[in-house]
Amino acid sequence: MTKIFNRGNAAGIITVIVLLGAWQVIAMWKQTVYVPPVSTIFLTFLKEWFSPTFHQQAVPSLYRMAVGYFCASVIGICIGITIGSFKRIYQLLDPVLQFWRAIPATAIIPVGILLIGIGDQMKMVVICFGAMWPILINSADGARLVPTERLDTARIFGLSNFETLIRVIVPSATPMIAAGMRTGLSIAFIMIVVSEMIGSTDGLGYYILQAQRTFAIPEMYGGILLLAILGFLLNTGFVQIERRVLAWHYGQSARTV
Amino acid sequence: MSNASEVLLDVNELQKRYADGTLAVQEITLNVREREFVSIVGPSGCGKTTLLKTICALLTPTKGSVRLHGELITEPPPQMVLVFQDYSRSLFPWLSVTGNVVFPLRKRKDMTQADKLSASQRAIEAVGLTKFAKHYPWQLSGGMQQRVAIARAIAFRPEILLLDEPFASVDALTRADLEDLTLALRNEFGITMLLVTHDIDEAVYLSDRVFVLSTPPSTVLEEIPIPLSQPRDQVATRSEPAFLQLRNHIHGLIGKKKDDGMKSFVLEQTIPRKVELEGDPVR
Repeated sequence: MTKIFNRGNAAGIITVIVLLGAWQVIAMWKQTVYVPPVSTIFLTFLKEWFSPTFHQQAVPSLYRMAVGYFCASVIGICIGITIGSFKRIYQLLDPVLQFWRAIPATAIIPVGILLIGIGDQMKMVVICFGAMWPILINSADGARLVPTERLDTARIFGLSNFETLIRVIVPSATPMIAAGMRTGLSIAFIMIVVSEMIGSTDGLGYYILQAQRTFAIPEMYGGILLLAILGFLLNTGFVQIERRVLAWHYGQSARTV
Repeated sequence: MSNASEVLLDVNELQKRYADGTLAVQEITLNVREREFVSIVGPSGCGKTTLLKTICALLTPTKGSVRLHGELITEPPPQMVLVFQDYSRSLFPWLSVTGNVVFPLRKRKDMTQADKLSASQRAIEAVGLTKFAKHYPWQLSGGMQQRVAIARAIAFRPEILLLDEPFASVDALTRADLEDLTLALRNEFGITMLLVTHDIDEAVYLSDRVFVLSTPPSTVLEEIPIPLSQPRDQVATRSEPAFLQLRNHIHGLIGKKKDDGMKSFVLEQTIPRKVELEGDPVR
């Protein structure tokens, strides 16, 4: 996992090459407009995304996502840790949270449009809303499941409630918070595309839908390819940072397994 | 070392009933003198952990009192530290050995940063982990992790150390090492020890006095002075006739016979269980 391209991945890369080759052959043989050959998609991709289009379409998406995801993390961690640290609050809110998080995040987009309109803010809000739940629920569980001995230790050594929160509960919960943030990241990615498809004048979701509607089929596939690459890079980057920050957690789990 | 000194910890008619009505500790009266090693021994599940947690005020007693130097305890006092059985849950896995040992000292306003570091170094040295100071707890064996927990406790310089079955999750050889380490630390740092265990031999081996508990809801069955010679030795002490006599006596008290282990555990004691809901502090 730590190296993206190592020997173990060689077989996987061969699979990718074979699949792309099959696509290329079939597309050239069938000659359909709807599924252009990989080579065409790839050339269009280079032409489109190494041009100002990247700045016009991809940057707005990434910006909205960054803001929305950041807010989701801050709100989710703060509320989650608070809920998880107090048994009473947890018992009070748990049913509401379980019900609320069952709403598919995309279903909230019409509400967002209704209340905020179709600007940047709406997209940031719905991304934040969607990505927040896994972060919040995981943070709450992480805080709730801190071993009693660890909390008792903090009390015995005379830590105040606030110190216990910052120095014991939060560090104990970080592995779960990180797991929630990783799920939240992929949800944020879905939310940005869908929200831009529904009401937008720029962004990757808009670009892909617009390309499809104007029969710019290679451009459509190129946009999807860009999304795939961005998603892969975001997730890989996240995992790399997580491995570094939570080295103790991975070391510990490796020992106990 | 024992008799003449002053009473440090005084537990008087302590009772603990949980919020769900379970009476874990019925009535315990015991005391610990300064620099004494006292053990509380009882069958599994006799509320020993509850008793220790109530003594150090992690739990609020339903009746009775705990006094340290004659003063009533209502919050965990800084002169008292509890070492848990499960070191993997009480240590902080994100901190190194040194980080763990220094951790509780951050509250000490009377110590400079250099004092704190030297105190932690001394504690780590006393438990023989100097070479592993930069390791993380999960990189160490179970016995070493418990040593870290003990080092963390003694660096805090408590007057009394409460030990909750601290050697129950390690192998027999490590266990003997840790027992002798605990005795050595008592001498080196002058810390009073109150140990809770289900291991009768361990209690007799380590202690100056042993309190034998009944099955739950627990009461003190007997207080037994242990007049074995000091210093204790794993081989010599354990083969003294007095040692065997004492352990057999305690075995008899607890009612554990080798042939019918579990059956005789249950001393019939019917205590009316009134459901008294008492707010149990949650965190």
